[in-house]
Amino acid sequence: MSSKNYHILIVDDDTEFHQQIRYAFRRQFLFSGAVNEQQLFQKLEEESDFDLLLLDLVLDDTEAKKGLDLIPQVVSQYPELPVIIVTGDRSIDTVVTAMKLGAKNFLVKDDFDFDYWEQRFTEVIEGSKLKQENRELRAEVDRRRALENEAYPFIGESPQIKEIKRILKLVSEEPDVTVLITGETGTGKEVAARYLHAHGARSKGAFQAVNLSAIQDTLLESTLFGHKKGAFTGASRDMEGYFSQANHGILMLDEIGDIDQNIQIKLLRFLETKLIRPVGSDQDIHLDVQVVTATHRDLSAAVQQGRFRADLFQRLKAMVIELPPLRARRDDIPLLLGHYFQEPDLSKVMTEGALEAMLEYSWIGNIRELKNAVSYAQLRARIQDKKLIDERCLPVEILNSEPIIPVVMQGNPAGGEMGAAPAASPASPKNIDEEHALIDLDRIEKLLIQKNKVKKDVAIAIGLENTDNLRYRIKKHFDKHPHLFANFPTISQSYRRIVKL
Amino acid sequence: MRIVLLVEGGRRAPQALFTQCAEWGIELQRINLEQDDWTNELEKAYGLMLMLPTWGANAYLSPVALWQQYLQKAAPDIRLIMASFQSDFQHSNHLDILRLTDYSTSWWEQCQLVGHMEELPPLIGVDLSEKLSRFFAGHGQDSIVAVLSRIRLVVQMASRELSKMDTPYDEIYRDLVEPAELAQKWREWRNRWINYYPLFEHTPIATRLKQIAKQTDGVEAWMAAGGKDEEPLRDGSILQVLNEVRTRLQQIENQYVVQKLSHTYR
Amino acid sequence: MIKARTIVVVWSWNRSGLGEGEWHIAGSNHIEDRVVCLDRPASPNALDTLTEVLTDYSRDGGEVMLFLHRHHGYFQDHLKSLIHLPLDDSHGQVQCFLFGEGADEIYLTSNARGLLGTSGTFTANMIFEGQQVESSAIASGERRELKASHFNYVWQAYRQALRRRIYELKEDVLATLAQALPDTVFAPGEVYQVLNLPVNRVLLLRLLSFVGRIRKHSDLAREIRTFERNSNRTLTFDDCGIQLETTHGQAAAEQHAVLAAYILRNVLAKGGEVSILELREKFEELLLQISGLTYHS
Repeated sequence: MSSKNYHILIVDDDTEFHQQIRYAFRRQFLFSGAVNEQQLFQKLEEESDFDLLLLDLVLDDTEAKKGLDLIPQVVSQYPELPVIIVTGDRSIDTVVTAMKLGAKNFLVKDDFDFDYWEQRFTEVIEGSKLKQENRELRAEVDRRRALENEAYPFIGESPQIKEIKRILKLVSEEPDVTVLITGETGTGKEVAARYLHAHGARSKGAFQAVNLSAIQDTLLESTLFGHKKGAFTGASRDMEGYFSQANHGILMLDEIGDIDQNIQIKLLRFLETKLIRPVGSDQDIHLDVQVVTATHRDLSAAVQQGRFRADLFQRLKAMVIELPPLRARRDDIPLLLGHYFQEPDLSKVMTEGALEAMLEYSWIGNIRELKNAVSYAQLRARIQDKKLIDERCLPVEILNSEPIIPVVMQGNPAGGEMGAAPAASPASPKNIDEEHALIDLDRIEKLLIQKNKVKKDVAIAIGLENTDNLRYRIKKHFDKHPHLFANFPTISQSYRRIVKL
Repeated sequence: MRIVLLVEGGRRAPQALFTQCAEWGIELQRINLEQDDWTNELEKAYGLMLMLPTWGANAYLSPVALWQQYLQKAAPDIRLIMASFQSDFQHSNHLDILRLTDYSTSWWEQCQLVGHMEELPPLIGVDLSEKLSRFFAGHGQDSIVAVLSRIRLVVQMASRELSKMDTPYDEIYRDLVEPAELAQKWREWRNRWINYYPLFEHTPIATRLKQIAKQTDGVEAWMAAGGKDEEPLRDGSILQVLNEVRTRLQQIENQYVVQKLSHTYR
Repeated sequence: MIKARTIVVVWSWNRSGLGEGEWHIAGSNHIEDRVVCLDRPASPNALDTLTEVLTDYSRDGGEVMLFLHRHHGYFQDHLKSLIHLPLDDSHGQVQCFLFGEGADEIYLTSNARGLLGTSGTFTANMIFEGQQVESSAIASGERRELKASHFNYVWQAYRQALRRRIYELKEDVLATLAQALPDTVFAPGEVYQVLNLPVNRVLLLRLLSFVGRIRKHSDLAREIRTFERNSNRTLTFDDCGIQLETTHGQAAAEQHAVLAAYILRNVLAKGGEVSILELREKFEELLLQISGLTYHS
């Protein structure tokens, strides 16, 4: 006995048939009835919870197939309501016509069979509900994707950005090209990748972005390629990796320079054969994924140093797109500010002085730093009860026109030298690695303050999946640059177990 | 001697027809369509002759199309001969009974095999193909199958309630059987049956219809009583009869009427 | 324009309680179809009423079939006068028939799609294979509606009635005479001898009726009525020539006259030889003049 109690509307001029069907299926379904067209539409207007329409093809005493005429009307006005026609006429033409007009199935009165009819009712109803759910799901996915794209707008009208957008659009027409996006941290590499995705043949497919540096090395292979149940301790079930999740779409691998040799080999294999093999599996899986990689590192230098495979590098640089640092496209700063302040007219938001300061600042952290500065300024303005943001609301480094990290930028970070070591100071980075670690830690410090030390919020603000990733990141920095943490008391306090000064 | 089977169709073939056939080297054999085994005669037959139009139900009838359909499957190499009193019947297989001496032995050679017969000109008589279609037609007041289906619907539902759901019969009777007015429906079935049954006496389906008539006699009493008696429902005998009748009717329909859809051909 | 179709039945409606009046046809494609019930025994007044009725319902091309019950005192002369109403071309076709004693196609006892039941009703109870079967032409007593299939059947049957009756006569005559094959020519009087055999009695009476040689109220008339009742068939040809003329035109009436003359002279008398082939030819000539189907399904 089915417990579903779907609600079926029978439309038939034969009231005896109504009564018989109701009786026969009284335990399985709820029924309502109509004997003519007028009653049908009246019922549909009054009640919206019908799961199925059972429609007699004839509907009156004449031979005219009035029910047939009703099918397109019902289907167009009530697309969620599946229709089964009930007929005494078994002419193939009639049934085919009815199906073409939108009926989902047909039943013949002559051929009444309780089990068969029950199955058809249920199948059609549940099939329709599934389709409806799928439609809703797809709509939701599209909506979220649109929201995501809205959350990552590629803002900029400077000549450099316009040119990059043009190139990205062209590249997006080649759905199998591997793209390498380079640029300093915070220049919007993910945004550019999303822009590529949104404008290309893969826009209906998934977009997955992975920050490779945020994932523990031991888990990286499994995270990317998936694993089989029992492949390692803790692998209690089969898991799909990011590659599988991005099938028919784009997978962005950020911080590609941070992966070890093992992952490099596997990535190279994928780029050559389109095959992956989950950890613990003996079966390859063929996938259709466009790989977009990103790095702030100098990969060619890494190749020379033996830290990065030359063959992989060759593959990755099939198409290189370099994002300029923010300071190289100051024209875009007002636009970006307008976006983050959610107010295109900046005079309504900030004083001229504050704007000037922001325009002149060097923005070592690029757009990410700008975004954080906006949040900071807004918070400060609220605390100080100011209608307009003035200089006092801005982060001190902007006011001082000095970044916390003294910028020693010698040439292009993606292809240039490592750069001469600046004068050492407790806060001065010895090398580019330290420099970026400092930037990152500074950001995390500020966010911890801003977010009242709620780590989850901080992780999200940075763009990490969860607090574990954040924790891992901090640990990595501490492992490499423990001396830097003296400058970050909030981090030290929040991560006492890691930061043991 | 080649054998040609004769269906007199409710009329009396003149002796001269038999005599003339013998002169042509043909043995004309009457067949009795009421006997089930008449089909055995087809194997050895050179031809099958119909006296047209046949007579039944107080009218002249045209069963040719049904015979043609039947023989095309059962004996495609046979010759279907149409013998009548019509003078202007234009077909190579037509035999004018009043002009038998105009035909020769070679006429038989030129007769078309039923599997390759050219289209028939219009024939006088109630078109039994059309009647048979109406017999099965899905809607309207002609269809005898429609009436039977409504009866079967109720019996099927009632049987299921009784045997699978253990519903008390007085409840089933009250809620399903009594409102269905089986006795009246059965009278309607009878009414229509008598309208059709006699028409097909001289057709290949005569035997099957006779079997149906016999079977339905078996449920007559129960139906006439409006289905008050629980036992024949419980033991499945009523439903069995109705299902068997339905199967037979479907077989006839499959064979003779334009193919219809059914999702539950059993 | 769809022509209105009216069946007028003069019968004992008052006896059953249904009474006189109009009945509409349920589900008909012809909105104007109707059955008009009148209960008027034959009289000059009744004829005047019938004249008015026929004139009225045949207006604007409407077609009318009038059925006169013999037991109400109607016979062929009444048919003649009603068929020959002076109606102009704007009026539709009028056909008149006599019926009675349950032998005609209009009766439910004759065929399951008839209109008339027992004694002034539209319902009949019959015994078929030992079982009582009820037939009814009523779709809704409350709304005074009759079933379209019954109306249509009777309409078609009587439209074709003459052609069918003539065709059946032809077939039966030829089948009887064909027993003499291979001889196709009968000596004068020989056919009459064959027809006089008891087994061929009905055929003889039918031929007599065809040529108009059965007078009303005669023994022969009663005899043929008995045969009709027993066989549930209409066998007589009430004023065939007139019916043919009004329904199918002068040529049909003339061909009937030719055939009737041949039958009278050679088949029913010793006038001359009868050639079975010639007889067939004359019958077929007549049938050619009568358009329409012989049978409908």
